[in-house]
Amino acid sequence: MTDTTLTLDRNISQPIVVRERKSGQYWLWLLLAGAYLALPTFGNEYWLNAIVVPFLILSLAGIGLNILTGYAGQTSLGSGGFMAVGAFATYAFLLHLQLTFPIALFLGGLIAALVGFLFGLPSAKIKGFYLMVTSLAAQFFLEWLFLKVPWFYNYSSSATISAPRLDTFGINLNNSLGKYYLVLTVVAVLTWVALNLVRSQTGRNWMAVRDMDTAAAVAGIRINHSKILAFAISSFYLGVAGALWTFAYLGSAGVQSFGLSRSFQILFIIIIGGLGSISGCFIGAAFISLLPLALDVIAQTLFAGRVDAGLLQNIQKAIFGALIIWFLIKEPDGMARLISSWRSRLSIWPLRF
Amino acid sequence: MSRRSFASRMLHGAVFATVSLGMVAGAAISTASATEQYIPLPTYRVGPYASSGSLWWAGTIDYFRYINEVEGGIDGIKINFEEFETEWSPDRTVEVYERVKNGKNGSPLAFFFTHGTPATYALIEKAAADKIPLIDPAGGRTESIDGTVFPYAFPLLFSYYSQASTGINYIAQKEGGLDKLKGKKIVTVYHDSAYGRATQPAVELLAEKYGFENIQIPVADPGNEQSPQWRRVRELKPDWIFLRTWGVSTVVAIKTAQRFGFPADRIIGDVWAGSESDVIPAGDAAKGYQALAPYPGGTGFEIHDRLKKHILDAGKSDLRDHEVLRRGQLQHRPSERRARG
Amino acid sequence: MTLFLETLIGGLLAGTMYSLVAIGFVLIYKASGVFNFAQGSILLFSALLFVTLLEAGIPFALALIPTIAAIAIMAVLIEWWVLRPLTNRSAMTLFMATLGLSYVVEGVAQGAMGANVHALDIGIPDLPIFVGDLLISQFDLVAAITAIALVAILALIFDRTRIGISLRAVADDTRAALSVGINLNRIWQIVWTVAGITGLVAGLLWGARQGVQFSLSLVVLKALPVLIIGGFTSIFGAIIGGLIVGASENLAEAYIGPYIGGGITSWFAYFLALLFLFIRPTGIFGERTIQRV
Repeated sequence: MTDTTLTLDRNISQPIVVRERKSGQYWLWLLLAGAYLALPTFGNEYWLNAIVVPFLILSLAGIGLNILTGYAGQTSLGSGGFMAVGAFATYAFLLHLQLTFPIALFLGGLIAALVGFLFGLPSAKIKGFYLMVTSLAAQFFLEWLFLKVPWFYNYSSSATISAPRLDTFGINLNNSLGKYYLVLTVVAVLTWVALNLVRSQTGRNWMAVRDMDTAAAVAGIRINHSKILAFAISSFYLGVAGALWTFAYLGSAGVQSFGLSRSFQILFIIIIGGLGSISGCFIGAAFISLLPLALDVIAQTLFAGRVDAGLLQNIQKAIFGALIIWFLIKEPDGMARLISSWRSRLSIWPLRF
Repeated sequence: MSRRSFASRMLHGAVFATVSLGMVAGAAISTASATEQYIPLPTYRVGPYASSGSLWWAGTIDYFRYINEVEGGIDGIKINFEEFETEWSPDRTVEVYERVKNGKNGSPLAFFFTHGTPATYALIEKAAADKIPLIDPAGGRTESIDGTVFPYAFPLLFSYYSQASTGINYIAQKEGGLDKLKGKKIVTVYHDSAYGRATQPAVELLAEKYGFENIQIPVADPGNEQSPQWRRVRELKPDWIFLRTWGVSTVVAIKTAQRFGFPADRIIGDVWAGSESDVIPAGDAAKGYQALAPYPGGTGFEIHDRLKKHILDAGKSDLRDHEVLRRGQLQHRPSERRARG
Repeated sequence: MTLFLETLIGGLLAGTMYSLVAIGFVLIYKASGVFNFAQGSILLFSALLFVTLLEAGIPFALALIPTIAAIAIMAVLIEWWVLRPLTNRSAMTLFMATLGLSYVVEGVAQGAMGANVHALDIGIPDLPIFVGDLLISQFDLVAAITAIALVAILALIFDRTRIGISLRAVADDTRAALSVGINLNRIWQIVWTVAGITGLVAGLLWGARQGVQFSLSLVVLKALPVLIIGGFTSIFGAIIGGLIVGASENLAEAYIGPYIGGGITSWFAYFLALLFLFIRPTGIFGERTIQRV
């Protein structure tokens, strides 16, 4: 007979301490160090400015929308409009008050947050699908506003804004390396803030509102405050992303850069990356940035460049749409969940369960 | 590179440029190892402007093919052209520019076609910093005519101001003289973008000078519904309309004009509003519509014969929709008299 | 005064064109609870296909058959690959799936049939009729009559035929319909086909009005305010909503527009819908839903 009694070889009054694995944090620091030091040294200018910078900015925008849609559950198609607000507000601060760029960026984000707050007010009465219509109203109105009111683009004939100098406390960052570091720093800081936000009480409130807001209200969470806060913070992120997109990536942009297709693009980023996951935003943005390139390269190598560019574009569109549907069916939590489940499967491989 | 081949390359470059509506300002000094001249083409074959653009690409690509296959390239150097889809979006054109500005396979970038006025505006400073000539035929930033201020921007053939001036002059001609313009009403229906707004300052000046009333009516991008604008036109009862639309907004403009009873022969379009692929779908509504062109009309030129013989009839043409040609021949073609400019 | 009447009538008639598009949405929403964002792309696809067949020389009536067949096949495929795997998921998920679907259909349509603008002649000249000094668009008038005819036909189908009654049963209570033995999947396929045919009619009319090309699919963005005002579940509501949106949009553009720069039609209907949402959240003719914890 085997002895099935459990024996403890330690004092039972001592608590069992579960240590969180620290290795995840080390990887993050390594990544950051790599981004700051290794990438500029080993990467070429094209990759930095044409691939990595837009990837970072789109990730930031994705974080913004994810806060609103993924964590707080309020679907919004107005991301493009809020990005435009951030861009034009930053421009106004740069031009009329001659502020240094980071401060202008921050204030521009605050203005975007204010606009987001205003368009988020109806969320108290309007839910779900109808709220999406509100966000569309915001999108179309803002698109119209930044075209019709010439003050916003300083009466230029082309209705575009640009910033020849990105003055950061005296240093002009308007060169390829400067822009990269600027974007990297802003995105790193804001991501850290977002991570802490979603793990805090605020984040938990959002998730409660998302899952079932009536129950959340019954449990004592102030859902209206929560929703409006989500709108404001999300618009702040989107506004900063919009300003960075205009000044640190494109150089000059008009309101057409922030149209409805931009809103769809950001929504796709968070669907593919994973609703309710910060790392998912980065994965989704990488996907969206790299897929067109990958398709181009495949077409060039397989068909020796004889594929019609328009057909390629349409194929890309169809593939995106199909991917969205596939993700929604198979893995609604996006690639972030896919990757984490692969990781956990790998850790016990070759076992299956 | 020896001086002789440099000079003959300049000559070839000039010939190539005139017909493909581009001018290589400053010959491309290629490295000794390059065997092809890389020319990227940021095109749009998707979206509301695709139909206007596709004829343009067909012309460019057919001509490049002709040079490569029939003439053996420019002084033996073949043209390696590559298309990139931009949907007429300045963002994407900037992305393409960043991708190609260092050239390919040893061949540096000689110049960059922007194929769109908003893209020119977006790139004008970048290109100056990178020292890459921007070529924008019949468009671009009018101020860039001054090469001392914009050394790397080349608006060819027409600028928007000269288009505006030509249009108004043609209207004056129809009215019987510039002095007859006084008191007339000329409405400009324009696509609300950098492209459409480019003629506003010129028209305003001319209105002041000759005393006609200048009203500007915008059409929001992409312009597929224009009833409110043309209802306002009907209310205003202008004498002439200067059409500054592009892509699908041209088709819709002409059709909506007919729906609101405005006669097509009182509409004068600019260079970009006069594309065949936009006018043919408008059908009967476009009879009498006229537009500016930077070249004489018709197909009776030697270069057309050469292209027809070697490229079109040999089936190597990029003209996707031969339907456009065939339809134009089957249907009663809307009469398009072009104003010389 | 004539300007006001003209704008009003023009707006009402334009509104019926919006209603035509909205009817397709209502059908699908009633039967499967999905807001089908892909309706615009399906509209574009069917109109493009029809026009391509016409240009290949096939006569008008004959070209309708392969087009309707293609719509039916598409409906079946959509039901298999999109609706069935996403059963019981939230409305938002389904909506996002139709967003993806719209991209797929657009990509396929343009990739296969090109991006050129096609003229479509359906025999109605787009010339104005003058009643006194009042200008009325002949084309819009015919479109309005078509919309009414379509509603009448749909009403007949829903009332008299077996399939129509099954559709209403499914719309009322899906589980009860299932328990009676109605094949849900078959019904969905049929509804999507009918909605697609409605889309074809709308697409042909819109295409004849402004050319068949890519921007046709953008007409779906106008249908949203129509549905919010009229209610998602009522065809009659779609008509009324369309009339309201069309009239108010055009009147606003004519009277308020010049003071603020013009071009307000892009967002005016949405703000109107917002107003309605505050006053009557489910639309004029929609069904009230009660949220339970």
